[in-house]
Amino acid sequence: MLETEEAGVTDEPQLRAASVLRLGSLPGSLSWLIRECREPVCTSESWFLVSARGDRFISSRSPVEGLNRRKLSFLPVFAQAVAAVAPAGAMAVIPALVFPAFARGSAAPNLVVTFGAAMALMVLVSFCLRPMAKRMAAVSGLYSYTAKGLGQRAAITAGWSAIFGYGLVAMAGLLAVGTYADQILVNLGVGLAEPKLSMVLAIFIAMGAAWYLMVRGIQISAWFTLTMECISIGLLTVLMIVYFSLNAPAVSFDSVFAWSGDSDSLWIGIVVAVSAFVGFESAATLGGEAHKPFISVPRTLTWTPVLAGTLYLLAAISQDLALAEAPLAIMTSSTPLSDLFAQTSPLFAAVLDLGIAASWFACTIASLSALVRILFCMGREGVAPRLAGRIHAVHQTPSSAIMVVMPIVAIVPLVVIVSGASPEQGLVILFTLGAYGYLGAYLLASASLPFFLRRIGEDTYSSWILGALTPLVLGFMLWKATSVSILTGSLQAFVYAGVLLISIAYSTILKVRSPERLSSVGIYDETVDADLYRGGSN
Amino acid sequence: MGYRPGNSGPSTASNSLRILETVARLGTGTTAKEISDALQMAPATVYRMVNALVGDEYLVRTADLRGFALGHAISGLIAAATPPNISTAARSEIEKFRTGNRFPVHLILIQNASLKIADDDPDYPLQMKFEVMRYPHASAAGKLMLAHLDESARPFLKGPLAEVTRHTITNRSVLEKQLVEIRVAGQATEINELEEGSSCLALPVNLPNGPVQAALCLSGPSERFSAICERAEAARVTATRLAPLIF
Repeated sequence: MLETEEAGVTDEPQLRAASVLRLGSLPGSLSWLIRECREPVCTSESWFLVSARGDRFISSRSPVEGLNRRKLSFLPVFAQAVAAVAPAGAMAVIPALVFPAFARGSAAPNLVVTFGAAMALMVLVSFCLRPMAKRMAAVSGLYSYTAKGLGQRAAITAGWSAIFGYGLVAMAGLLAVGTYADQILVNLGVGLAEPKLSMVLAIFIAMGAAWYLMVRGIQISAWFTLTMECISIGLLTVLMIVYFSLNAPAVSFDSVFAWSGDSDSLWIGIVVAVSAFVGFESAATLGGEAHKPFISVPRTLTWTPVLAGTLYLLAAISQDLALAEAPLAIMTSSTPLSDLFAQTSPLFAAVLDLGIAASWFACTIASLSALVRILFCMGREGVAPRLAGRIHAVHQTPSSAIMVVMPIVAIVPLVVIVSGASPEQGLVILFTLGAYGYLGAYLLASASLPFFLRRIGEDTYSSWILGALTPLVLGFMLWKATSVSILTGSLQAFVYAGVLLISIAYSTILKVRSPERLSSVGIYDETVDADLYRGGSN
Repeated sequence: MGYRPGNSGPSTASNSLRILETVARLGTGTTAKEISDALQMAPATVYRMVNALVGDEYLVRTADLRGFALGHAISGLIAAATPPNISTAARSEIEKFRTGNRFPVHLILIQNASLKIADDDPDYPLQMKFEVMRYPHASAAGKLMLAHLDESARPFLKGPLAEVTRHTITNRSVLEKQLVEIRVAGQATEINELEEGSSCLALPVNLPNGPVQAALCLSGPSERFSAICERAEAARVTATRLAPLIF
């Protein structure tokens, strides 16, 4: 604005036009702030601490202000990631999803190799995300990282991809809650005549509870989800131990490490296995709310995939052993573990189902929490409806975004159930489609690493290697999985490609029609003067 | 690139302090590259360390993420290491109180669970300077400090209570009881406890609702203690005026 005045522009509309033009060349957050300051909400106390070195500045307000800033301790941040991964639920469901995929073909590479490869890949991704999490308190995770790395247009694609992924996993979570809730009733012998009714009811209850917890704040929902997750992991582990000690099957470990697959089914298997890990990056949406974001977020990003991977490997080994002996009906069921336990004791199975349902419920909350924070950011930037950028006055949560998203997410599982489609089919489709979304966002965000670091003048050789290797591996895997899935006549890859195309078209339209909105993409929780030595409080 | 390999400084701890110092010296917006050049440290080492410092909020990044500025976490360090400046206005306020007074007046700062004599009466200097600082349980100012210590600092003051004079309180429970009284009364007294025949009245100097950061002490012979206490209200007025001038 100062610049335009110096240029001798005094006329008000002209000034506005000039400042809009000028905004294109400013860093995103600065242009956001200036735009906000033109609106009456901005008080006169706004100021910048501008460095003598170039355009480096610290403002009095963060572009994402309104969120409950820097309050969340490490555990809730970790809980967010763990819940979004939903290890307990994934332990029970996803190996089973991988398994029938193999069972159909004659040759099946084993679960351990598949999960091992998926874990290695996710650790690689976490290595890419970590350096960025250490440097930027992102409120929208992968979206923010991509914006600072590959730029605004790529960020829109990454953001949509991530929203797509979170949304579908949340839908799958709700569907799983419905499926398992019905299973609990069946195992307890009180199953309703119409299983659809109990599923629909369970989904409605879960939706209402998720809504309430999310609006009340991440603090409460994170603790809730962590408790749920711990209980269900504990339950699952105990039940597995009990099952094995009761049944003491003639265990042959040969099958666990046997290699009998072709590489094509391995790739699609890895994509499904990866979907058991996705969500670990959702901690990166809590940068603004975490107490020490530059410590807790990177730590969570590092440890969640390792922890989840270890649990999965254990679960994969034990399920490999248990299910190898099981009849085909159980192997191809959507709830194989609980069917397996139901053979032994229905009560066992009911308890197990409760744990798994709780885990999926937590997963729904966590995925939605991440989703609404991306949407909130987009709303603040103006690339999504401004409404989404509003904050609940009391609870300091992005309640408008929650309100927009919740019905959309709930409708899909309801339609799946009411239409009479098989829930397991629905789960497979939602998870695999969701995995595409996550993988796309991972690819863009990990490719952002070296560019992000170069932009801030801190790139290293290792960042270039890591930033090249990870997207290559991810891309290769996506390519393989896509081609296999197209060959088998699945339309999933086309659906995701459609999402990508729409996002590219949208960002192109933005670039042409309102470049100033595109330029404000990439807001994050900036340093404010209260964070400075002798700033604010002093 | 002014970096010489193999010269990445003596230790991680001192390097982080040198980085903080460099940012303080070069000012808001100093980049990692500038730090690396200024300190002749390997860039990768500097990146790692500045990120650790950012993690603990000793440093913060500017909005473009390139530059650094000193973060609020060092406020604690700096506030603890630098005593408040006793301004001329504060000194003249104390001087004004002294002129209307027959008793010696001292200002003692309370900082980090220790005492520091900030303004000694030029006409009647404190006699037991060492004892005042060493045995807080024996002096009025010391007891005022003990009474307002927060919980985290209390464990450091464990150990036997030395008998400076016959009247020094050496029983911990008696002392604790008196500390409660001090908190309630808003003033601390000492009679023959630090020095036989001498007594003192200490009034807290603090901003409204702020922590007690100094003691305004009026001392005199023990037989004149009631006369000292008569000056308490005037001293309290001075203490209230002093607080905003110092803190």
